[in-house]
Amino acid sequence: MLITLLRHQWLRAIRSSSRGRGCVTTVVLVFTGFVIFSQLLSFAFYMDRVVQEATGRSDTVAVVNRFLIYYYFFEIITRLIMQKLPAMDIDAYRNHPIKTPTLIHYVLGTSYFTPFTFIVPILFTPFALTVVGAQTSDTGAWAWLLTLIILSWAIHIGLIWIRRMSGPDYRIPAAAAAILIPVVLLDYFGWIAIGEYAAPFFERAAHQPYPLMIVLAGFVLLYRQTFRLYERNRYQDEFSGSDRFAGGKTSFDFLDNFGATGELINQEIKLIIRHKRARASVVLCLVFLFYGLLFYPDMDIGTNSAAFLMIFVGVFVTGVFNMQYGQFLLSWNSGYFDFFITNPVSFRDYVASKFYLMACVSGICYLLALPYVYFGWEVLVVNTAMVFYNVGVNSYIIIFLAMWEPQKIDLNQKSAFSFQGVGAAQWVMALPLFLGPIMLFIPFAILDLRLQGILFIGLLGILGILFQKTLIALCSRRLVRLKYDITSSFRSE
Amino acid sequence: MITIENLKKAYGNEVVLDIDRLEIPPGQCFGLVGNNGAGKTTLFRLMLDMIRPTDGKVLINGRDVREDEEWKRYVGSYLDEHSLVDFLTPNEFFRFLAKIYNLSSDDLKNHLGKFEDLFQGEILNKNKYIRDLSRGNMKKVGIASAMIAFPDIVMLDEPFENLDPSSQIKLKKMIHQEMADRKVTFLISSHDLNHVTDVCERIVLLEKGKAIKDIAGDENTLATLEAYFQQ
Repeated sequence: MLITLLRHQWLRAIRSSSRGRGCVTTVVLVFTGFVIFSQLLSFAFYMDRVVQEATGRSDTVAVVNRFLIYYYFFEIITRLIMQKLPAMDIDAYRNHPIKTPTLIHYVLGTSYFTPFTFIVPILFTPFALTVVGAQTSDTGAWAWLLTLIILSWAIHIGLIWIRRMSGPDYRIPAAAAAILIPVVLLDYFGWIAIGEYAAPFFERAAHQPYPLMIVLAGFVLLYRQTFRLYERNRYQDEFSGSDRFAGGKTSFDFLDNFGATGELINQEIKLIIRHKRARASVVLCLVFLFYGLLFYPDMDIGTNSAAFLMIFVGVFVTGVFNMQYGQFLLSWNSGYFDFFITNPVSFRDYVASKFYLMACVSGICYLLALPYVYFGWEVLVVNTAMVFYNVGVNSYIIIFLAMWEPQKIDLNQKSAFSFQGVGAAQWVMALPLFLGPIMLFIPFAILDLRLQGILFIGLLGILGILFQKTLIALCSRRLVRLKYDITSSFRSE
Repeated sequence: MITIENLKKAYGNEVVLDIDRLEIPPGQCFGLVGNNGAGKTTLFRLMLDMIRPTDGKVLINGRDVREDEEWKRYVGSYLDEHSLVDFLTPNEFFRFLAKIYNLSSDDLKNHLGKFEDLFQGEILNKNKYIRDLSRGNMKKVGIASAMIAFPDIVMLDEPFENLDPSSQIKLKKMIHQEMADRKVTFLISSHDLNHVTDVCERIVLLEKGKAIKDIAGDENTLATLEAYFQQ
């Protein structure tokens, strides 16, 4: 049975109408994974030497044990951002005599097939077997290693449980990140030393069985809870990703002054407000506003590395909504795309409404990020250039890419088991958006013309804004050309 | 005036629609019948430029529907719920349409007034999103949206399906009224032979993509059609 389900998943992927797009995304992910893993592997084998040279201490095991808790923090935060919730459209299967537990175990089990599952084993096995083993014994080494691995599994399933409970919106994970980040910062500034508190747990893992038993018990408990959660919530009508109550004012009347485009923006805003999944993009945007706090404090302004950092942060802070919402730009409308092609809605107005919506959100994010000037006027300059770039260059790239084999998505998510979240695949499509300014800046960095580089990037954005009529027309012509393929893929599956 | 010339649609090697020539004069009530997979919805989609024809063209008032979008202003249509913006309430949806078609609020009020009987008070001014309406009510919203901008041509795909019997009768009356008032051209596809022969003065029967019969509606039409489908 499990083999059949796997086979079906494979068939679904290769027969999808977004096959080309999915293919490219997978190739990029696999390639990136490859690069990262080779790095990890070499780090894993030389861990002992690296730690010794980095800290100058020879009791490497103690150092690593102190560091482990930070690694797990990092894992939690990265998983929150990069990990997709396990999803499976089981409606087709549910009326047949396939046992629900089988389906749930399948969904949960295959969710472990991500790079995260393999990072801990790869990273720590060599170190465990050699250095830790030398210090204690072979059994101790395995106990230590297994503790780490199962802790990782427990975190995996625990995060799924938390996110599943809060539905396809980001409040709980955002709250978790909001707690973790200050804790890490406090530690960094020396106020508290979490590493010291956590280290003994890992130390004991190599000598006594209790830590291993604790994480094992924790894992089993979390798995059972998650299993029950999925089992309980398998009824279609009890779960809905959208609101029932239709009251309250969700129109912006001032948009009436902007004609058809304004009206379309109005509808799009209603869409975002009324669907949890779209609201998640907004929440993500707000979370990323704090991104700067992670990087700005430590910078050495005036250097190239600081400049790259500011560009990177700037493009995210002003552009993350566009990156996430923009990927599904047409897909949000997939349920009623026929409306746009049979009624006299000009494609130019349609594209323009998307452009202006993204532009306004970028602008608002920029204003909200103004306080970052605390870290230096350079930050303000970079962010200004980035908001221009995001609006004047990235918006068009987003609109362009969004028309390439867009997938139909169900805003209402009636299927109990199918949650989509932000997964690594979504960030792949965003790669050209944040790598663009970085690549553009490289020649300027080499020539030490940092300010000119920033101004150049900003200027590109301003040009893009000035030529908006032409560029929007370009995008809408592409839409006209691709409309048959887009509508047929929205109607299918 | 709608003209269909050499219209063909094939998916790979399978031809799902093949019509040499079809002319629909203004003010006609045109009925389309056929078994499942006969090509009725495909024909409508081709006429509305929703899918790409493999060959041939559709002309509305002499202009190819693929060439420009002017015809969208006077052709109203409702095929399925993909034409509805389902996260809006019916009130919001109609107001949105009014803005797109540049209708005044009086126009909108008059238009919705015509549908008061059909709506039975279940649709307007209730804080329910379209997606939470029953299928029959969704259909009523769709039909109302197709006719909202005083179109010259109205295309309805299976409008009688999902409607309760009294609503079906009301719809038929409404179609007759519109045709009398404004000489609207109606194109209606249906599985219901009774209704379609009641309303339409001309019936075209599709079978595997081809127009097998093209008959004027009279007292005998129903019997002819039933005889055909019995084989």
